[in-house]
Amino acid sequence: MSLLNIDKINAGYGEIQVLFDISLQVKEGEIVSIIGANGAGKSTLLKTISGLIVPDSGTVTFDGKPIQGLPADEIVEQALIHVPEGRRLFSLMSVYENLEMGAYSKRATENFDKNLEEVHKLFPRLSEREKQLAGTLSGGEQQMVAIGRGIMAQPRILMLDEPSLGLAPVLKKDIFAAIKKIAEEYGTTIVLVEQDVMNSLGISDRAYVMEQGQVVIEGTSDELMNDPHIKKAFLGL
Amino acid sequence: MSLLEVKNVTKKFSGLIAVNDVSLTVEAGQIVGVIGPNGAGKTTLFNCIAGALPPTSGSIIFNGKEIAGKKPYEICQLGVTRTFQVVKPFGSKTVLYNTMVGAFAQTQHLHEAEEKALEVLKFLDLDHKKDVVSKSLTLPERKKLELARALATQPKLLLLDEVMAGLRPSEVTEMLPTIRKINQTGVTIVIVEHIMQAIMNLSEKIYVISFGKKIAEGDPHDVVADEEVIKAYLGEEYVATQH
Repeated sequence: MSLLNIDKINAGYGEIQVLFDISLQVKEGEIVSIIGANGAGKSTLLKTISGLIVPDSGTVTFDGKPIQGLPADEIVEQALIHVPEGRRLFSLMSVYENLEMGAYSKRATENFDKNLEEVHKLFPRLSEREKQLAGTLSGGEQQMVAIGRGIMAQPRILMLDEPSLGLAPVLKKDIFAAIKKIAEEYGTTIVLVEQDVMNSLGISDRAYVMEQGQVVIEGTSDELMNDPHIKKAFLGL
Repeated sequence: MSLLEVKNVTKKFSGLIAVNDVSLTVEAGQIVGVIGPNGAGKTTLFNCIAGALPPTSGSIIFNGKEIAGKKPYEICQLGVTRTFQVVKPFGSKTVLYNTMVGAFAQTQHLHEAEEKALEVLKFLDLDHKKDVVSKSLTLPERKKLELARALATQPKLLLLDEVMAGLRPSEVTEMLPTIRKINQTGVTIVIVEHIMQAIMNLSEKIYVISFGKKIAEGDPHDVVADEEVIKAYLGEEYVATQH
């Protein structure tokens, strides 16, 4: 059985429909990529899963229970954690305080020390910069804090929205390597939304390609690496 | 002579260079597409051409005249009109009223403005809605009203900024012939759009902008085969692995 099962979701913003009959499945322990160009609906899909948007129809089932329409905080309590696009850190708070904010739920507070140690092991830079204000960090370091904050929430599924956006190629590699490590070492299931096709396929088991609010291609990452239709989904020709 | 010549236009916002030395030419009668990833500078470029922002440097020649730095209404009266990505009609006013607002760019007479507005609404198949207040229109209808208001200014050059954003795939398909029909009446069109199938389908020439710079130009097939374009859209590694 899938850990996360999305079935025929239609969702959007007011009268603007963004997602059309989206279905996808994520099994426990998998890394699944969702790739597609700007405006394909990737972020809207993550927001629908994490309760920031209530879908017009369709179901989101997490660990056998329907969660669509639940408030976002209850979904966090169930350990389905969303790291938003653009990092969204508390820029006037320190690195440590930002990580603390991730452990807000009772479930995560109980394991605060252990989780913090894991974050520091994954991103040693963050322990060096513990007291620094998040807004003064480099882009790559900010992304580490955003992911770290997600880990502090002790996720069963960690959903990452364009973690490599705006990073230099070398830093991108580090971020993708860290994501792979999270999956391998902690067994966390990962849903990765990306526009960097090869780097995300490189670390994921399977992927879905979205175009104009629909899933147009799905398959294993190996199959998709050489699929010429991906270019068409991004560039239209 | 080209209808529009953008020469080495740069737009800086303090330290940030949003448009960096971009040049492009549009011939009369063409449909030209401008594409690029989010934040590439497409809308800023439009704002420079339409006069909403003065370029920091460079020259914009329309129909033989320098228009860089002119006010939006002056540029509009010369024949360059733009539409906006987020359509904002006067919601409590009728479709006809909103369209007449555009027509007043070229006439001061009420009956002439009304006549022009009605002609445009008929052309866009929106005349049956002329007495409806615009806030009760559906989104595709409001997008059409945005086109109507722009056409009522009698443009030679129409700048379309994501006129299809937010439409359903079937509505996009319906919009394409409308844009072609506008072009066939002699209006030259420059279009910015994220819906790639639409823009590739419409444009005879495409300019690609990334991080403020022009990285490619050519017909749609050449542009999608261009390595720099593929890198900008699918990532550095995509090009490397496809060889």
